[in-house]
Amino acid sequence: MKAFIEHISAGWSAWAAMVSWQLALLVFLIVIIAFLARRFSARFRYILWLLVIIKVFIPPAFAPVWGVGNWAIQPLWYKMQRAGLVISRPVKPQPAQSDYDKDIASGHRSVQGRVTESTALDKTASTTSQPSEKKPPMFGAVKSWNLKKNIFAFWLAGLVVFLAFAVCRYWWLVRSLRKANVVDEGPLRVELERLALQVGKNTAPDLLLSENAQSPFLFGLFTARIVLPANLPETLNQTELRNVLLHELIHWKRRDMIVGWLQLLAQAICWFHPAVWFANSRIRHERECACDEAAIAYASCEPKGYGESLLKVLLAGKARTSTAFSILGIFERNTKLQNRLKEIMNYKASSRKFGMWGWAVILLFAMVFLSMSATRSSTSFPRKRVATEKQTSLTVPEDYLTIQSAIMNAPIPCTIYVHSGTYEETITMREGIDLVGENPLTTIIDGGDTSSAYTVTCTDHSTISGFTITGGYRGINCYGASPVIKNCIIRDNAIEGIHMMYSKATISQCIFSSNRYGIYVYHNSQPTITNCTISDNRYTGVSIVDAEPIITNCIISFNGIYGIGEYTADSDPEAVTNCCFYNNTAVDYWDEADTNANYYGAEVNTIPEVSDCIAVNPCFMNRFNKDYHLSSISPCIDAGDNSSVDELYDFDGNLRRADGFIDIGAYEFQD
Amino acid sequence: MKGSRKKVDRLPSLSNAEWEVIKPIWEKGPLAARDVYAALPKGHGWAYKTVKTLLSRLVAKGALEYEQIGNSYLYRTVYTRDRITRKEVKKFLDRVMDGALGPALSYFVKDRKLSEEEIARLRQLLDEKERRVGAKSKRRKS
Repeated sequence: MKAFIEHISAGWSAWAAMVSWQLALLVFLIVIIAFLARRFSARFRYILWLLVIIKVFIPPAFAPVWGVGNWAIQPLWYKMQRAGLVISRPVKPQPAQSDYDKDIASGHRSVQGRVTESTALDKTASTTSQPSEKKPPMFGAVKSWNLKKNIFAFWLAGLVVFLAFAVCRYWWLVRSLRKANVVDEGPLRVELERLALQVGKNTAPDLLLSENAQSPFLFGLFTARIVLPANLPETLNQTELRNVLLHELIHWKRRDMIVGWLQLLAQAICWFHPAVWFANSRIRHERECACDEAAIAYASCEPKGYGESLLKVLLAGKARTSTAFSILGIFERNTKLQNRLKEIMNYKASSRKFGMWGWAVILLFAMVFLSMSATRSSTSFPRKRVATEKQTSLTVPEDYLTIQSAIMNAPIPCTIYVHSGTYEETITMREGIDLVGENPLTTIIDGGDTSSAYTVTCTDHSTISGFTITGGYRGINCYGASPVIKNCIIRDNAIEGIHMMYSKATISQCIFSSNRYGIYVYHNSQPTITNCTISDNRYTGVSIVDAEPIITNCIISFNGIYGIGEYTADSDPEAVTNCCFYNNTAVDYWDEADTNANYYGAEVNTIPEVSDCIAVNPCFMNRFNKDYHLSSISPCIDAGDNSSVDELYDFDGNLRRADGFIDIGAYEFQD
Repeated sequence: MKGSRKKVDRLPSLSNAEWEVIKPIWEKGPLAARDVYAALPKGHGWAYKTVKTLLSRLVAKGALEYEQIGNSYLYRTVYTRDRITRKEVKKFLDRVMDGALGPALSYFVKDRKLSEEEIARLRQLLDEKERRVGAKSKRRKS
């Protein structure tokens, strides 16, 4: 339950932050356009303001390619960050040493000597069992979570109060109209029917006369009703009465009731946002002006006469309105009467048209400015092979049923796009081939043989990205090969996720889990391993034998024996920087050549090649379901080293450095 | 022809519901709303309020006029049934048969059962029409 509330609070915080600035920006833009269009039809301005209500219901992360978020806001924000014009997020303080670390340091946690492979084999280390020790508390993270939870609770309380208030007012209104007289025949009813026919409708709403109504209004949840003050038919002459009925009929014809309810809902959701209150006030005003325009046009009356009708209604009602939320009256709350009368008196039929061009402008504005987020990834997966004179791409299974057959028949160079699916085959790459999977979660290469095969055998000058590689004896073989492997999940291979020998492979944004060894770096290999999550492997996360890998921004956690294991004296990584070590069952870092040998937690930073590493719980979203996304309280957020990373997008295709700092691990936390 | 004007069709077009409501007034003369409601066929499913609304709509369309008597209103028709029926039939013919009467007549004769009186009446109407058409063409020739 706690995790669920935390998840909801974090999600709401992210939504509220995004929607707040986007709504503010949208309202600002609409104010400018509405001012420029002040001589045009009020209906144009009314529909323009309605876009704010629509915006409340659109997910703020919605980011089509043509949206302003992609081509303007994101590049501008990025430039401002680079120029230092934007205040960057303060660096999170290193949390206090955890109980886990303290236990290890003080010797309370017993470690049975050096754990060797043979002893480990006796034990059947389980990577999915829940560790029994209590998770160490993190001072800063807990405080942050409580704040988000409290803000979410406050918002929820505001929402409930707002809706309760609206329901109460509506109930009061319905109750006050119980004694109203229904006008279903007679001259008033006939006039209403006549006007309905005039505006092009074959039916008309119910008509009520009420002693409690201060001014005419239209209301109703499922059935619209026009309510007039009981004394109004005697106070107004026939023309004035017709103007009033026409005004309400136009509201009814345009279904302004539904818009009113949507306004109410949007206001309830964004009760905290002043821009939405302001927008709703403008919507009400422009709606009335738009109705006045239409009423003058239909009635073919002089604007002066229409204006006088309004004033007479106001006087008859003693200048009070009986409107509430979502109820449309001839006098809405906060409508500026003087401005409205001015609009009426300045009415000119020719300048008040709202036709195809008006709709086109609004549609264009909506398409561009309603989406203010940036899109996920810069690459788009092709659905059809692009036909060129010299073919440089192939698609599986459209062009070839199997990946291997595509590789064998591909021209060089070539990009092979592989659609989602499970491909039960072993693959041998060729130089000059880029292999791109549609989605690493759903494009699976299954070696199917846990006794001997390499699922993928790599070469130089090749790239593999977007796959799950599983089911083999060894997932990927880089013998004498230096490929680029990125955005892949390498899991559930019998022995190694990646086996490297004499390799300078580049491995970035990959997830290694449930292999015996995540990465095995052998003889004279100098791979670059960046922003990977190496977690829940049965033995060792990264095994180093006479090799010098560079390991940066990686999470190495929950592995069965060692996080990193240097097995020989010549096994020294070039550098291990900005990594997160946590809860590797035996030892976080084991250095065979070192007399100390075992390094636990933050002690790893005392190793000469290791620096700026943290030793705290990475706080994955759901480790037991292999969801290695970072939760909002993860200390890995913004803890990476920016200088080592060239990737613009993370494993999911979201922007790295969205807030200027890179996270540790394959995923960039999205706030 | 100088100053020819297109004839404005003032006859209202009635919906199915309005037809049902106006029929009792044609058949029985001026009626109040409650009498119209009572005269409607059983099983129509309309509320009394709905009938009153329909009557108001007919007044708005100009098919009925009303006179206030106390708290009630008495409704009477403005046009005869025959006139409005002819308009609806013409509208139907224009829409379905492109205005051609012959095919419509043959549909009715083939598909509908006609009594002997109806056949005799049809024959009489056709004879009358033939005589008129003949008289017209003689006048043109002369």
